[in-house]
Amino acid sequence: MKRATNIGQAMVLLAGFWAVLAGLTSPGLVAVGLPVAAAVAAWAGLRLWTDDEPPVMSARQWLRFAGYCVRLVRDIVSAAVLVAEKVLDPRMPIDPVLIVHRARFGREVSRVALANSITLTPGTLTVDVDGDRFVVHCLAEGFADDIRDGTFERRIRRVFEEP
Amino acid sequence: MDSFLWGAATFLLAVASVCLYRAYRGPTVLDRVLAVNVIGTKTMVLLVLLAFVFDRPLYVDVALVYALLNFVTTVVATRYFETGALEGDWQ
Amino acid sequence: MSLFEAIRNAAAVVLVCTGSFFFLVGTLGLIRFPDFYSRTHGATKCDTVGAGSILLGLALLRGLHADVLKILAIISLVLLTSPTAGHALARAAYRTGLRPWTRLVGGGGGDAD
Repeated sequence: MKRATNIGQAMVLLAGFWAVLAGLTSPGLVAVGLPVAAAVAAWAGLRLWTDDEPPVMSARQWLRFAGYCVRLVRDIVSAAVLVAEKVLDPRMPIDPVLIVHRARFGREVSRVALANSITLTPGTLTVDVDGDRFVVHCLAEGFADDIRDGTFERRIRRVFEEP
Repeated sequence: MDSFLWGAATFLLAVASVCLYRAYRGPTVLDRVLAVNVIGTKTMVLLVLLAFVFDRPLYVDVALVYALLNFVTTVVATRYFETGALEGDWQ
Repeated sequence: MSLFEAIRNAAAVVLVCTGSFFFLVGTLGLIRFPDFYSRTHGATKCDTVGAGSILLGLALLRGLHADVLKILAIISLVLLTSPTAGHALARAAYRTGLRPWTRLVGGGGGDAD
């Protein structure tokens, strides 16, 4: 049942992508696009998601996910501004460190989200993920504070782990 | 507006050629892959700009595919460098 | 040209200029930063914002058109793939034993250049 929902979600997404690419203006395009979307979704459901539970999301989760995306975009912009400051400063005031952070999640998608969030926030870059161990490169020690005290982790838990 | 977009396109081209220095200089293979990835992103944006300048909407589709290919190229080149193989267990 | 168009064009110009600025900064970072890891910082973040900003400006310029959806698809693709590519690169560097440059060790770690 869960797998069927997932294949359904993937199908809607792929059909949307096809609609954007081809523009569903003629019956011929619809006739080609929808079966292909269905076939690819079914294939992905059977072959790509066998190891891990695929991301089934409820309506509330989708809503929180949207909020999370907005916040992420804001973070990316401030991250770029910070890098700009560092680059344009002739003294190049960076003091990079590697830190190790441990975070235990129930789902694969949460780990992906945490790694991506770390990469896109100011001064930090996910270097390696191995189980619950996240190796993070920071341009300076202070940028790791939000990761260390678990702010990110809580945020991601709220989006992906709570029903 | 067209001349402004021309200017932006020229600027992007100039910036992309500056990135070539890192691709040439290295010193590690990954520096070169990173430089090529960055150039690819700029090329993709350049394609969209040119779609507007030349009024060829089809270029936007090309840019979309280019964005996908750029990502795949980077990941595959990186993975090949890391493991020395393209087949087998990728975890 | 109506007032609306003037405002829209101005906004597009600002967005394209902002994007170009971030592309320039990302490139300077690629050239100036001392080691591979910090270069990846510059490249992933500045390129994401640069590409996003320019494409958003162009989408604004196009107005209500099917192409806008394609441009938005490219933006979300960049947002999704850019950090992933950066992470893949950094991980390969880490797993093949490249040490990051640090202020203490100076040129000793990584590949100060």
